[in-house]
Amino acid sequence: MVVVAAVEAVVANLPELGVGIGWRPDIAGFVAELSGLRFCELIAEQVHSMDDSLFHHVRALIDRGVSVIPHGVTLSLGSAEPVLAERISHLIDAAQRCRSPLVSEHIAFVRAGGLEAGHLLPIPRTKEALKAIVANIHLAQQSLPVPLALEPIAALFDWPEDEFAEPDFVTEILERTDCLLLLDVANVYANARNRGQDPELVLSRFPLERIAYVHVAGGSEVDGLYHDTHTDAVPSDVLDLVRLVVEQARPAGFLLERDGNYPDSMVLRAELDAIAGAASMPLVTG
Amino acid sequence: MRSHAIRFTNSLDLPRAIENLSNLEFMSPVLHADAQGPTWGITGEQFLVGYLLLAVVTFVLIQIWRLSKQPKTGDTHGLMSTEVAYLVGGKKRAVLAALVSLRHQGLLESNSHGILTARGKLPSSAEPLEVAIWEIISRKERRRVRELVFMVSVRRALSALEPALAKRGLWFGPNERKDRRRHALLMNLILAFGVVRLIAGLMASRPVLYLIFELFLVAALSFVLFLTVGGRTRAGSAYLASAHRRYAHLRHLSAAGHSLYSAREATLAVGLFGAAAFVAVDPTIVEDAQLSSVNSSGYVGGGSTGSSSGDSGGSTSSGCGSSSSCGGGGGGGGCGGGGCGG
Repeated sequence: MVVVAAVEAVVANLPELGVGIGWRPDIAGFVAELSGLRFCELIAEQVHSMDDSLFHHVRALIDRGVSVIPHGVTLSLGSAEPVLAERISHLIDAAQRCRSPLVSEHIAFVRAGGLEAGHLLPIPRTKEALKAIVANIHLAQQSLPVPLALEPIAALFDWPEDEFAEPDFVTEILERTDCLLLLDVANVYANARNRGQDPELVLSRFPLERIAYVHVAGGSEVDGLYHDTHTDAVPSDVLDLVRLVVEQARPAGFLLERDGNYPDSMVLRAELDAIAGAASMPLVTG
Repeated sequence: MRSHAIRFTNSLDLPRAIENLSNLEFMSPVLHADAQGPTWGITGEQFLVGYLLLAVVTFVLIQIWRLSKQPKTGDTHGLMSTEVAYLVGGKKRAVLAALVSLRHQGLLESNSHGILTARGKLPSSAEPLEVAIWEIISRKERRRVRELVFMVSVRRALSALEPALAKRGLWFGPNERKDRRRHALLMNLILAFGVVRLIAGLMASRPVLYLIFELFLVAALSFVLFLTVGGRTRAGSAYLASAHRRYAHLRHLSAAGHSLYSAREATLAVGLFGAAAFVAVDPTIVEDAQLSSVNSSGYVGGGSTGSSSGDSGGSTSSGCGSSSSCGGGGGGGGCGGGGCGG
């Protein structure tokens, strides 16, 4: 209980983030014009490769008080082998460069036995895998200067040897590591739908008091499976999950992830407004 | 002593002069007057120093004169996006910008073979080049980008861009070009004077190697002056530098993000930073526009696909003079092909 209280204190200490958007080079001009914006996310691995003409847009946001959170995708905390020190230091660099209040990563692996998968893969929800990921998170936490939030991913398959349900597995990890939760309601929706579960029930089983912020994204159904594409509009069912989160917890922020196929700027603004409405947060579109 | 030296007494014998040049002893850079005294009574050393000074001072003076005649800023109010594109990359870039603008507004479609179809109704805000292109496409089905540039109305709209930019002080107009060329001719006179001295030196069997070096230098200076007779003015470059800053957020625009921005911004993205962002939106249009033989006169070069053309001000891009026809294909600015001005 003491530990939970400590985590809640960390959550309470986060700045009010409000509604944000994943920053991408394509939408630099669009993001710059969101006058009420107080936070955005940056793919952590891109921070290093950004030249000054690109990072200058991010710096402008930081300078006007926008919290920029590096969102790692290649730490591969779920790998059996220890997480690479070099990748941790990249994440730390990104956090320092962006003066971030926290960083985030995924509960997933992207490499195993020296092979790079190229995308986020689910880890088997077993006691053994739990031990390995907890060890890796502890390793990362030793040098990270800011809190770490972890995001359960959208998976198109489950491992046959799974011993835990996903919310229980995530709860175990977070409790053992004192990490915050980056809950992606679109992932919850996708997984529940593809597993034939009720998204609202699944959502309620996650440790919502640990949420730092929430991801919201669009997707589409292909061949009977719902894909978390980040290139489609946010379905109303996902917005319903946003409402549900707000009923049960008080996350610092809600962030729209959009990775391509951008619509007209008015449509994207309306989507941000819809998230703000569902989360009962102020509009950022000004 | 000078056993190999050959005197020219009667007439200039060029083959022998060249033979002389290749004579090692004759090529010796050591300067010395012989018994007859120096050519025109000026020693080689004195001439080399004086001549170099004359050429460099003249060059500097011409540049100062050129700068002093140019206003620092031009009239950029209400500048059309096709004009901006022309300012950066000439006619090709302007045509591409017009196509991007039309396509962004849903006024134009193209299939994978580059066949264009007009759609909708032109808004009153359409720029003349856009109007010319759209009207041609709407009049007849199955038009291609490559054909467009041969159409009288498109050529007329294109050739109106340069005078319009000149009126705003962003581009050198015909009178300014004439003046600038006339002053560049001064450098040619100096070059000619040096050549006369060279011939005289050769005829008197004097060592001329250093003089030849200087003549190459003067020829290069003269070339630079002719290369920069036309093109963007200082104000034009200054405007582009400020536009690069103002629209920096469009520099990294890719196909996915085009619809997030207005037609003007999408057009400016292509005009200022090149076709890279638009290639994935419509590769056929871009390829066709790059291939089109649009350089009939005036400005050349520009518009290289994929480059985010770095002419952020500094260098003045060249206009090749109104009569020359230089091959395009160079990067943004500069005379591709190298046959300019000479």
